[in-house]
Amino acid sequence: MSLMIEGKNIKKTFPGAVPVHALKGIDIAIKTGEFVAIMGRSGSGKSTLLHQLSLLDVPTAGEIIVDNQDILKLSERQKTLFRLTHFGYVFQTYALLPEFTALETVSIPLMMAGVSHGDYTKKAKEILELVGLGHRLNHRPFELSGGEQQRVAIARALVHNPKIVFADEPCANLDVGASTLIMQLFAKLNKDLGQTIVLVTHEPDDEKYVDRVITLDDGLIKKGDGVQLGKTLE
Amino acid sequence: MFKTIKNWRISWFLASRSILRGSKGTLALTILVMALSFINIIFMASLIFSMMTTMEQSFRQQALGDIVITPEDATEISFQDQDASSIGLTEKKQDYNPKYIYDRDSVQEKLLSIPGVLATTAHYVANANFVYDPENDGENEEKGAWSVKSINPEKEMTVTGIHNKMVSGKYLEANDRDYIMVGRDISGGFGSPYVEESLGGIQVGDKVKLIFGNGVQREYTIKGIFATKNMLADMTAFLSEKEMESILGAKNMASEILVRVENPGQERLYIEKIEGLGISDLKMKSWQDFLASSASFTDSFMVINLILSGIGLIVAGAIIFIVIYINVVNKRKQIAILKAIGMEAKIIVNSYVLQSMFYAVIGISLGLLFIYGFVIPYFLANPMNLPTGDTSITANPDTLVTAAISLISVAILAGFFPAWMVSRGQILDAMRGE
Ligand SMILES: Nc1ncnc2c1ncn2[C@@H]1O[C@H](COP(=O)(O)OP(=O)(O)O)[C@@H](O)[C@H]1O
Ligand SMILES: [Mg+2]
Repeated sequence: MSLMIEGKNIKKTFPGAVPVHALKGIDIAIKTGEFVAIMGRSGSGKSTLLHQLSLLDVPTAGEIIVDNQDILKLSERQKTLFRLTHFGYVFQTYALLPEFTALETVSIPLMMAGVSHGDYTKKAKEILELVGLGHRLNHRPFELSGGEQQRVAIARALVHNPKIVFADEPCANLDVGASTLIMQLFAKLNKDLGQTIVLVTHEPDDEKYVDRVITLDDGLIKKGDGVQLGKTLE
Repeated sequence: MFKTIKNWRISWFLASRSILRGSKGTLALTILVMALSFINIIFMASLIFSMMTTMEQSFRQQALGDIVITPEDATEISFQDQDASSIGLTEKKQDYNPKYIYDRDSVQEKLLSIPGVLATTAHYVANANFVYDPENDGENEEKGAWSVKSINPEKEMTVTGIHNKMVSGKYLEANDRDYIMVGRDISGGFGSPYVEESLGGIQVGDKVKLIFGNGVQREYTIKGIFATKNMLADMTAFLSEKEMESILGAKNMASEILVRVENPGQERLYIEKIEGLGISDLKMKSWQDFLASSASFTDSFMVINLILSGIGLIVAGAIIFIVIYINVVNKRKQIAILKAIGMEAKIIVNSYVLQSMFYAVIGISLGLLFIYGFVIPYFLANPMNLPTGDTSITANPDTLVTAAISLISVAILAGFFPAWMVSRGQILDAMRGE
């Protein structure tokens, strides 16, 4: 299997009176179709790493290759386009827009990709049905539970068939039932569609859903070496 | 091309959801601010515009007609630079005086032969010192100098509207020799703003002595007083043509001829036709040109108007900018989310520009509705009684267009700037903030 993400010696320092060295030289490789969990204590640099890999931030040093492209060399506009065509995002706080219904929210990435009206509505409905929200198409965020909102966000992250879905503690604000549903959904998407997923979580239990765990400690990889691949994929 | 349409479609999609489903309070407030700002600018500008128009029109109606014809040397007749004998001209060209139009009657006849020329009236114009002695005892005399014009009443009534503006006594008649008719600013009554400089409240029936520049002195009884609210007309006294010719020793001449035409606004065309008559030594001016060359009040009004609408625009612009700016800054997080999921910055920015334009267009439309539906009809029915004349509000189309374009431009800037700044900034910073 080919490499989807390859990061070399990624460093991130937040400037300030006391500069914070959040990432101190990370080497990481993630294969196409892999479901990887990034774990570690709070403040260990999990989110920061995810942001560097997913073009939401720029590392202080290092190199990141995604889908055979050196993404740090892209212009601002190319980065935006790359995010649209390659990435789907699921955030801890859902990041939904209050003025849009579930169907509209999920349609936006397809509109951007130039899909025609009839087609994007059909596709958005399919995905919402897939995440179990076929009966909530015209509801807006404030009319949905936390778990439902997060499923809308997942549908939005998936609808345009991205190469990678990035999820940063998607279950942190959810109860056990809703969390289980979301994790099962991710596992199913990974298994059925071969979706590459990079998941940040601090829930040790989540280990059972994923192919491989990368553990961070104080800005460095502690265990489950990021370069070597998890045994389930061998 | 296809991509541009697609992008604007998405921008409008985003904008429309925001307008339809965003805070109703913000929507109402923004549109209200837009409408009020627009009304404010238009009201002030229209008021001044209307005052100016009323005033200008009163010159046309009461004092100048549509076209003013003067002799070659149209400086006001002053008696200092000519002795009485040189004025006493009856034989044409014998002692030519460039301050007169000769052969008045035939000139007027020729003018009337031009199609579209409705009426003409000829005046002699002279200056005189007025003396009014209320107690008839040689003490406490009221004095002043005013311009005296002669009229042929029948013809005068076809050009000016003074006969409709009598506030006391009667209009002059052709054979009146001992009577004079004066404007309210000479009498000092009837709401004249120039009481101090007047004859101190002279009434119909009172006697006034006039001393002309050529030494002629005569006493007249006030026959009538008129109030046009036009300062030029209201500072004029009228004698009959016969009486004036006897004072000046002139015959069949005039100092000015006023012309009324069928299509006001086409004065230039008529002037060309009059020139075509081939009468020598005449100068023709449209009433506007005559006014522009003799009075600077229109300029002052223009400046006041410019300053007031300028200030109005700046204030309105600032308020609108702030309201829309705050609105967009509050959407920082949403802008960042859209950018994070791969939305092009320019599509996001354009959606805010479209929203602002929408607020502006709706606000301006409501403002127009209020102005045309309420303000204008109200003041048409209840004109304001201003010293410059009874004034209703007329909206100047130029001002409407300027104000509308300016406000829409401000709205576009106010929508563009914050959205552009946020969409350029770091996504994560904006997403963290609520
Ligand atoms: N924008 C920032 N400015 C300064 N320091 C930051 C910023 N973001 C994260 N950090 C710091 O970097 C470290 C790693 O943070 P983060 O990646 O959010 O940790 P985690 O997601 O593992 O809890 C922490 O010490 C955090 O305080
Ligand atoms: Mg985190």
